[in-house]
Amino acid sequence: MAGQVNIDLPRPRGEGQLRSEGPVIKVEHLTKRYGDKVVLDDISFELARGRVYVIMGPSGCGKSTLLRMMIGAEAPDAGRVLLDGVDITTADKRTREEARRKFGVLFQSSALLNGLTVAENVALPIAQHTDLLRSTIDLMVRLKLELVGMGDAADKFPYEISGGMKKRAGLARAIALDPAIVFYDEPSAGLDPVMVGVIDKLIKDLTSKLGITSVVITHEMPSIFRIADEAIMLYGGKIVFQGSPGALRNSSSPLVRQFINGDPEGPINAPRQLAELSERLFGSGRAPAGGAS
Amino acid sequence: MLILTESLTAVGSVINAQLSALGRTVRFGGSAALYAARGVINRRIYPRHDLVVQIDYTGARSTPIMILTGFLVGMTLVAQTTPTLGRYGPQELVAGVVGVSVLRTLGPVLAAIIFAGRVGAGFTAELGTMKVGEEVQALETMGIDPIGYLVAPRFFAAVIMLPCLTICFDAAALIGGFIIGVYNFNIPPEDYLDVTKQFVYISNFTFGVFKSAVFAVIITVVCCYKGFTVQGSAMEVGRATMQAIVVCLVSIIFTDFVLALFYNILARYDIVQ
Ligand SMILES: Nc1ncnc2c1ncn2[C@@H]1O[C@H](COP(=O)(O)OP(=O)(O)OP(=O)(O)O)[C@@H](O)[C@H]1O
Ligand SMILES: [Mg+2]
Repeated sequence: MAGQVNIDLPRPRGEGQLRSEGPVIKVEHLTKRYGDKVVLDDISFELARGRVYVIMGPSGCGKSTLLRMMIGAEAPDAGRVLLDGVDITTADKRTREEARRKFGVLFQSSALLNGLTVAENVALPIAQHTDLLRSTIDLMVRLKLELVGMGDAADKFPYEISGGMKKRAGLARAIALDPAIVFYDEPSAGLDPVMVGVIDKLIKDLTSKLGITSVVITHEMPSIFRIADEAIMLYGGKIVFQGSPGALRNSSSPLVRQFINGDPEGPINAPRQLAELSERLFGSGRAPAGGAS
Repeated sequence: MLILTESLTAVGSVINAQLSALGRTVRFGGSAALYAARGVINRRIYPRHDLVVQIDYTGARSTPIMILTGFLVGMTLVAQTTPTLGRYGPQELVAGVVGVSVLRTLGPVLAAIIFAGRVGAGFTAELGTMKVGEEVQALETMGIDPIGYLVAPRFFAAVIMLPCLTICFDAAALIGGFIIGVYNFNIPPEDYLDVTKQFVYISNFTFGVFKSAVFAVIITVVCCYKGFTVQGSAMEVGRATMQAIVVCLVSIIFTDFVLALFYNILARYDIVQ
């Protein structure tokens, strides 16, 4: 049953589709500060339709902040974000509402509503935005849950399922209205390698079969090389790399090399005190952590 | 001179910040009230089921504690007031004193304080956890207004249920007082009831119930607003809950004072007795 779900079945829509032919998302000179701390410093890039983009960078470098601004949830201090040609950083409520039909978001913490079952969570955006009959909504929910392999857990509550299942349920909700763009904030953090593979395949399939544009924030190196059409690396509020996974692998930038090798020493200085501590504890040899080969 | 202007500026900016926080809270409450009303017609704002759940959670489940505390308060009041009163006049006057003070102030205020602790704290903790867990943001990205979806049913339930709970509290307190007065101080039951009828006006009761609706608005708006403005971690949820309760308690007692003055003005023009 799960294998033969036709994912294009009910598509009662039109409003959520992209209008313009240009870039799906255009980020222009985006700047964001929290207090004195400049989290994003004059960032610009464009994302084209039907591709998988990976945004990466060390923890705390502003990936989730960038995501919040791309979905119009938080206003930047300067610059703007064009979503399908519409500036959503200054849009009024109605325009923003319209723009929201075009994307789905899988949040870092899945963000399922704890008072609702998995199926009710997935049904929520459908019931909100369409006038479909209850039975039709139930059918759509079933399809989405089958698609992410969660058909059996439809009537469970979020606190009854594992982290990986929550991610998949969150993904089913994000794609409930067949959005043109899906944002994923660390979809595979905390999952076992097989589950990471499952989620990666889902992202890949959604993009290739439905022409969805995917924006994936992730740290998982294997995922990046598996799914990305293009990778963007943030560090210190700037884009330090943008290009194909091949170019990423062959990059000679010390920042990128350190990040993809997981080297505890290098220009990314966040864990410096830790490195010093480990030096004091273990002598002057290399710290035993990290995935350097 | 410089110090003076500087400290004035500092005080000014503190007052300014407080006022703008107050303004945001009031606007928040306004839109919660609006959504609660609109939700009666438009079932997309919040699910009907959530309203039922909230009425059960805020109201039905608070009834036992209201009755218990009301009963104890009534008994304590009569037990403590009667001997003193007895030294200056007839003991049964206690029925009037306790009746008026319970219906006018103690009932509405104590019921509101218990409600703030039991239900309001729950509102802040629940909504704060949802905020931290990105659930509030998820609702927004689904095009669902979180104030309508989460706050409106709580607001609606609280404004209906706190007055009901206050009536339960009042009744339990009066019965508790009656029992102690009659069995402990041997006041004849007819006298106790007579004095009660003589001193207590119906407007004492109705104004008290009206006050409790005002307290319900204050509690829900403050507690839900505090929950919605939690930033950061689960630890902040605890802090926000504590702050919400402190603000609630002070606001309840302050509002009670203002409304007491208001009641006296009404009484002067014979609108109430
Ligand atoms: N609301 C806020 N107020 C103040 N500072 C914030 C706020 N949100 C984020 N920050 C700060 O902005 C920086 C970027 O945070 P962000 O959550 O975007 O990081 P991230 O790249 O997503 O990290 P992670 O990989 O750990 O999720 C952090 O240093 C964080 O402390
Ligand atoms: Mg993040």
